[in-house]
Amino acid sequence: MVSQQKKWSLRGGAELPGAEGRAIVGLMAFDAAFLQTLEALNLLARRTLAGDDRAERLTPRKGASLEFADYRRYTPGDEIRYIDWNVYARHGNLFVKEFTAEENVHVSVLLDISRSMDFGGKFRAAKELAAALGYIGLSNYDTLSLFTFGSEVRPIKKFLRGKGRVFELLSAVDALEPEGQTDMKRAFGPALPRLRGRSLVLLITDFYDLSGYSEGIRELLAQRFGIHLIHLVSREEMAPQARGRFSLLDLETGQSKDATLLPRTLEAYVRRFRAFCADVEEFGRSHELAYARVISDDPLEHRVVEILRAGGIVEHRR
Amino acid sequence: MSFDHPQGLWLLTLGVPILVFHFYKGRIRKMPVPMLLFWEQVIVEEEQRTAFKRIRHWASLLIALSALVLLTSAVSLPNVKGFTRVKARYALLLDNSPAMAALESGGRTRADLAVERAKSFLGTLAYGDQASVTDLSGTRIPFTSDLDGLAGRLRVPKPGPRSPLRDRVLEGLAAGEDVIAILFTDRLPQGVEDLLEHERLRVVRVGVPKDNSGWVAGLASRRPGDKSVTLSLKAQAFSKTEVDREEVLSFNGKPLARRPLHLAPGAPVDREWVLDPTKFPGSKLEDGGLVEVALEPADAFAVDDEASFVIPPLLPPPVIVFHPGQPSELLMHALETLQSGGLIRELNQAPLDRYAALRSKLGEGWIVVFDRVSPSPLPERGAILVLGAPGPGIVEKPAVIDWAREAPPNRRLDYAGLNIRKSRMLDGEPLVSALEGAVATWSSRGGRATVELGFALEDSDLAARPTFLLLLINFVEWASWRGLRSFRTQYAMGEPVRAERRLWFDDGELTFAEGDRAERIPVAQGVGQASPASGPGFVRMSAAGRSEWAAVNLFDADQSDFREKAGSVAGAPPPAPAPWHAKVPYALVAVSGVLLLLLAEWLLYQRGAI
Repeated sequence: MVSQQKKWSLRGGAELPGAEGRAIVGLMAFDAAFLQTLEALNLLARRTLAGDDRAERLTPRKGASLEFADYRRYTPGDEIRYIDWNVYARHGNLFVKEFTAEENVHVSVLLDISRSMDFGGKFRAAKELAAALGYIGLSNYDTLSLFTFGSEVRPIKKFLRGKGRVFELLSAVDALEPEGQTDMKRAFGPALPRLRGRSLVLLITDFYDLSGYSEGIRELLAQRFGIHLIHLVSREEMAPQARGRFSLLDLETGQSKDATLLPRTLEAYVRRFRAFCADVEEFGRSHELAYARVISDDPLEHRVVEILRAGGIVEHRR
Repeated sequence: MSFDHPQGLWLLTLGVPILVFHFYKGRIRKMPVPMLLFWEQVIVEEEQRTAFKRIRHWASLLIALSALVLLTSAVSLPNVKGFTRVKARYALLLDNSPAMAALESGGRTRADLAVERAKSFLGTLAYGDQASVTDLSGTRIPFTSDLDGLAGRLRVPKPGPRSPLRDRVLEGLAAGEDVIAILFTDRLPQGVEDLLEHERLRVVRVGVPKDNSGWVAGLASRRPGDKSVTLSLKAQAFSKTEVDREEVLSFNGKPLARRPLHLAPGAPVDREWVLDPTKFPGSKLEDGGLVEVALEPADAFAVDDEASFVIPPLLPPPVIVFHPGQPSELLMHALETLQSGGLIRELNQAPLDRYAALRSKLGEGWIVVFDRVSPSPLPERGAILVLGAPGPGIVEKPAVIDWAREAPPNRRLDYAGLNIRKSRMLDGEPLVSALEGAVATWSSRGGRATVELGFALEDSDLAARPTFLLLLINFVEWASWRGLRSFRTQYAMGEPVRAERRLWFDDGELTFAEGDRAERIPVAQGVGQASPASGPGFVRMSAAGRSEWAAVNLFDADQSDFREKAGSVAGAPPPAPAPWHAKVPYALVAVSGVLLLLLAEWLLYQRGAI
């Protein structure tokens, strides 16, 4: 038996037995305490989302969960077993108990795998976030799909359900490699595969899109997805330190440009980058989308628990 | 081109890593960026700013290499002909002759002014110049480039014996062909015209020509047996007008007499003072002491206005003869002759067994004669004559072959043909020498004078000759006063006051006191280890409960004459002051340049030019 305090780490999809039969897969290093933290989280859906199957997500709709919601007068056709006979004995009227419906949500993780993500640890951080958020979804019996995108959306795993599928998810995430350019408009133009009802989209990207990220996100909005924006940045791109003469090489396009990086050049760049981040955040706010900016080298737990919760992307389960 | 510190050129090798670093810094490195668009937006703005950026890279290299060259030059100190200033060396000569004590307007002496001018001159020199300071008596501060320190060490030199000026100048110039001698003096020098002509010697004059009068010669004399001392003085006025002054005679600081003195221009005047105790009752002249003849009122050169003398006691000394039982009749007869002539005050005799009781009473005022006896120890002080003391080494009929004619006891004596039946051969300074050795010796140190004859009067025909009486007279005259002194009674101003005989103590310190100034001189084996120059006036040398006085006088007409001499050559003026920038150390300039270059580099860096 391995202690819960022990840190499990797997590479290349190998499995290790963990506490209560769990196993952790991939490059990500999740320990038991962190997994418990993740299990206590729920993906927050700002809009009312309806899924096909019962799950652990409570919805305003009345359902068949064990959690009492309200009474209403009995009407013919109601399940007799929900009549509260104790109330009838006291009042002489038939009331049936109503319970909160527990419904699952189709969670689609859209992970940017363009080459611009392969900078400053962003890609690794993105994969860790995708795995962690996927784990949260699966822990809540949500239906989980994993898509990657660059200039097109590619399904990696579709309609996973239940914690038993977590290894499958993690293996798939671990195997991802950066490639191609980002073109969200082109990628999100075709409808994403989805189940009935609404889906929640977790968009994990650096928003570097030469053609503009906003058009692509609008395409997703048009498909009536609930969208959470997770903006990955690295410290190197937030505040580059290099000085001197450089040939700047665009990771996505392969284009280069010779430049002398001076203090004021760097200051101008930083100003420009901050303006870009503010644009993205403002876009999310204007479209009532949850937004969280995540720095790639922040500790994973901090990224998931603090930043994403503050950004309205996850919440503690009730 | 030459370098003061050529090893500093090794710093130039730092140019290699600078070049390496420059090209390393200048190479274009690849830097992947997630999105070039942002960079393009800011870089386009940046590169549009100035065309200077095309040379920014080379400007950085130029600054770095320039800084290195400056730094190297700061360390190696290059000398470039026609570009860098040649470092000069100056031998400063301070005239310390007595005339430099003359007062000028403002109440300062010419020596004070000379030191002030020398300090000012040092202040005009360029950084790196060297200077030495020598006074004309030879005291020297060697060449140094610490000119401020040298100026701080400059003091008014003591008046000293003025050695030949030319020798001193040549000593200063001997350090090298580049050395220029600067003489700070009150008069144009003589005998160095060639050096002046070739500008190896420059003269800085202090003081102005003026009239003066004073004593130019003086002598105290006394004939044996005389109860008076005669002071012979010579005064002179160095002016175009007649001078009237007054002579004031003082004894031990107390005025005894005064009389007017009229001096005609140019001609010296002889003056005489007879110091007869009978003419100055109550003055105690007979005890001897310090006599001064001053000229009043004082003028600008007080040095030659006072003539000082130390005169001996005028009372004849008492004599005591110790004998084995009966004194020698020949000896007593001779001594009685001296007593009757007034050369000795009283004549005593005593058998040797009383010597121990009387020894403590026999001081410097006594002449003690040991007739055929030689007790041990002899008296520590006083004049001692030993005749025919018994002892080993007796030689029969020694043949006298020579005698010390310069020895004071032998003054005017002739021992030729002296017959001696037997004599002991003595150790010591020979007074009379025989073929077999010294038959008579003499010695003298502070407080004690001794003459010893190896034979008794009865063993020779000495007592029958006039030589013996003269020997006794000489002995009494010499041993009762001059023979007891370590120092002379008269010294010339500037002359080292050096003891002529062993001091009265072997080891310790001797105090020279002159007015309110005192100086301690170490003494080893009865010889002082230094000889201070002093004057004018009286100097007291004291130690171990005994003291001697000496008088120091100028008595130099040349020094007293402050008139301009005809035919003197002034020579070239002193070198012009160095420009202000030559006073700044080149290394400081170079390092400042390096700092400025580094500042320029920093500014260019901050402005984005590098």
